[in-house]
Amino acid sequence: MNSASTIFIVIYLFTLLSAALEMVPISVAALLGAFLTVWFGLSYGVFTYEEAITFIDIKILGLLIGTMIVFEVAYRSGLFRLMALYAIKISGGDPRLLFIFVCLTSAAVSMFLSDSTALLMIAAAATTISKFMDQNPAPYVVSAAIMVNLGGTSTLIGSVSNMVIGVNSGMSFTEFITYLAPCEFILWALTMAVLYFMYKRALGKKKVVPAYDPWESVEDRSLFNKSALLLVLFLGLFIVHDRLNLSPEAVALGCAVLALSLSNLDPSEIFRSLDWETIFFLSGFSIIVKGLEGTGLLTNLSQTFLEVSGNNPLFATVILLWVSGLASSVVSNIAVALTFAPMIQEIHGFNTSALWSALVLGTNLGGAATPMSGVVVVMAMNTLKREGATVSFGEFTKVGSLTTLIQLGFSTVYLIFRFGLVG
Amino acid sequence: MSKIWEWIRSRRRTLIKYEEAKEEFEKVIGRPTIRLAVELPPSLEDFKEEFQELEGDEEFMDALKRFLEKYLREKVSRAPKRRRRESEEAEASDEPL
Repeated sequence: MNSASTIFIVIYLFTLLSAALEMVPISVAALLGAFLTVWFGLSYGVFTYEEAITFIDIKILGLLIGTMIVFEVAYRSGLFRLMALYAIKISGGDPRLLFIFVCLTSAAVSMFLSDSTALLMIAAAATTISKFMDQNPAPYVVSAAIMVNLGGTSTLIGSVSNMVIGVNSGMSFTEFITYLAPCEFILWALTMAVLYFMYKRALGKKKVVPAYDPWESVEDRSLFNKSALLLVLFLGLFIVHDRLNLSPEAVALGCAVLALSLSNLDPSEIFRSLDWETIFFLSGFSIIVKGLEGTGLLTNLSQTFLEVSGNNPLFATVILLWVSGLASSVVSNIAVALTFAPMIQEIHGFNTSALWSALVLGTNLGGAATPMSGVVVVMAMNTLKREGATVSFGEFTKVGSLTTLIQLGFSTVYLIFRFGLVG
Repeated sequence: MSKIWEWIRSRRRTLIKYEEAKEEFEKVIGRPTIRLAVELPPSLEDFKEEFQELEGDEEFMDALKRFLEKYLREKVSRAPKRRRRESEEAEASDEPL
């Protein structure tokens, strides 16, 4: 290994560590790592400046920013709040039904909103109603965090790591759904059953929910209707984008422009609401991974991975699922997706759809194993703290790691049968 | 383990979006909230620091809640009498001379 490779590995590991421990904000860690990668890459002649400025994948950024704008407009229209209010109303004050609806709404909403926005909205709904019902909000908020992490696993736009994998693999929106939707829906049911079993004693008795009209929460009906139509158009275009020869980022950015034009909302407010931390982390970390790629290290790792798995698609898929799943429970799943994507691109000789699907599942499922696994869990804990309810580290880890292990276990079986990896 | 937990809790995550979302839900299903900006009275200029500390003072919040309850109840109980008086006055002014 030459000195440039050693430096790039140190930068990579240091960035991961400082982001995981939040020694500095994750975006700053990634940008600092990117700066050092470019600096040393140019000094050692690993790449030229012209090559370096192409390291940020404009396709992924376009897809991410476009999707964020469309969903931010939809969020402001009250569309998702209405869903949550209906879920509470339908439960009729029955804590068991409320629990199931909170779980379902969390997973469904996170298919569209970013995990942190979805969690904060559901947590707000859950704490408001549980306060009214004199119940402990912890079972609802903890379960919401786990379901939000799970929701959106099977769609190209469901999470940032999915966008990274989608653009790198060339998998279309429909391929994502075809490969992964059955698995995701079974995982919803399995996870909800486990959570219900763990929390059923903590759920209180039935109380009368105050009568209310969920539509009271929609202030601007015109914006609501436009947003609903736009979402239908957005999803429709994603379903047929490959047949129309449109790239996913073109669909996302096109719909974002339409959303900004039709909504009459102040664009500067929408832009301010975007998750810039994630955008800068993604950009910075892309540069760090490209630096590693330039040294040939990821190609070597890819070959080692194939050797370890004995060139066997079954072992390779299972190893990738569990390694990416466990890695995502410790470090950012975006970083895991960015690191593994070029490795899978190097693999030839057998059907890589199973590998891409394993990476999608691994990076998505690892995010709620412990309170340190992802931002969504930290936010859930902070909202509970704000409401005076506490969940200990061990308590969350018990629930989170059990659901993660069950999810990864079921995904292993699913991938084996879905892609015919046996025999 | 508790140290790790404390460390996680100490990570600063903005919960502004949470508070905003909660307000929206409370408007429909919960207890509504109001926000007021209270200016330091001119006669208390020397107590700037103490005044600003009131924001996090639980004793002050309790006193404020008690005052709010008393004030609102009195205001509501006065309202029907006033309304009756106003309508009587209106009727009297409508009578033909």
